[in-house]
Amino acid sequence: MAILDILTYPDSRLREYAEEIDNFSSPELQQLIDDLLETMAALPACVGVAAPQAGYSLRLLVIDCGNGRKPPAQHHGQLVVINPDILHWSGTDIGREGCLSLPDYTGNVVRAQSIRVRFQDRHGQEQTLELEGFEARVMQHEIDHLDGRLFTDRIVSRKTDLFQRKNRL
Amino acid sequence: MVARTTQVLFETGCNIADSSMTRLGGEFTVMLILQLPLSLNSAALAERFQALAENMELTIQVQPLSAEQAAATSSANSLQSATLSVLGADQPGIVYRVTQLLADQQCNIIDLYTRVLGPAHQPIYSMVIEVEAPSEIDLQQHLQPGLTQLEALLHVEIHLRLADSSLM
Repeated sequence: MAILDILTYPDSRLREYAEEIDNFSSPELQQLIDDLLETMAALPACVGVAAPQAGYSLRLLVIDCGNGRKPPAQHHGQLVVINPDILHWSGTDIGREGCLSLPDYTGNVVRAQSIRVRFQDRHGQEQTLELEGFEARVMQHEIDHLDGRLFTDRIVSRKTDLFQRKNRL
Repeated sequence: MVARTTQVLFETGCNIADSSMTRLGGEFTVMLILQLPLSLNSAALAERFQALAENMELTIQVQPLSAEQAAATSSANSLQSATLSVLGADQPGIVYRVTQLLADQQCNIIDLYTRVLGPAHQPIYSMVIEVEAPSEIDLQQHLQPGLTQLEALLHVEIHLRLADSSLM
């Protein structure tokens, strides 16, 4: 197990489209999943990490809204998400996001309020989950990392929606 | 105007640490935080700007800042931030009443931006305020009752958005 170093903008690896995973029995993959989970747990108020943030261009992310500053009343706890696909979304909401890879800023980002997402777990089993609110937001933010996208790409106005972080964590 | 101003800064070896530039009506304002080279003081910089000010009819003010005054994030850890957006029919007193409530609740305004939208006979007033407050205050609890009262009083919509400091 290891706590991984997180890449920060403008590292060009954050801009790559990550590759699909098909070999679920690989010890390297299982090790990377454990390392991502340990990294998420070790960083204060960290609710999600995507593999590309740690320099691995793979469609893999981990989420746990229970680690947040103000955990939502309902969430799915720790999730290991591989090759995710958003099947359906509804509603939109604006919320403030902070990113490990952009540590000096937070931004107001429009996201779908609820999503249905299909993915494979760490054993390759297909799962489908309905996520809402903050947890849906975190999932969309992490999936963006798999596509080489950062939340600043979704900011409408740098004047009213991007903020310098007051207390760097 | 921006090009001419920054040309002087480039030629004198000044570094732009932070900036805010905006047009209001027919007036354009530039605010810059600069790092000066050791060979230049603020009086000398002001002198370099004199010709430009006369040519382009600009008002230029140069004011020395201490390192602490120049740093935006000096009082870091003890603060939280939030955004307040106000939208509704234009009328006297919107800015005063909202900012008075913020002042009463120890919220410091960092940025305030207003715009009048919609047709002239039916103006819609839009205001976005970024505030800072001591982190021990529960902002939602402190501000929401007052904001709800103001919504009813002023017939506007007010949304308070706390900066969730979770990281993704």
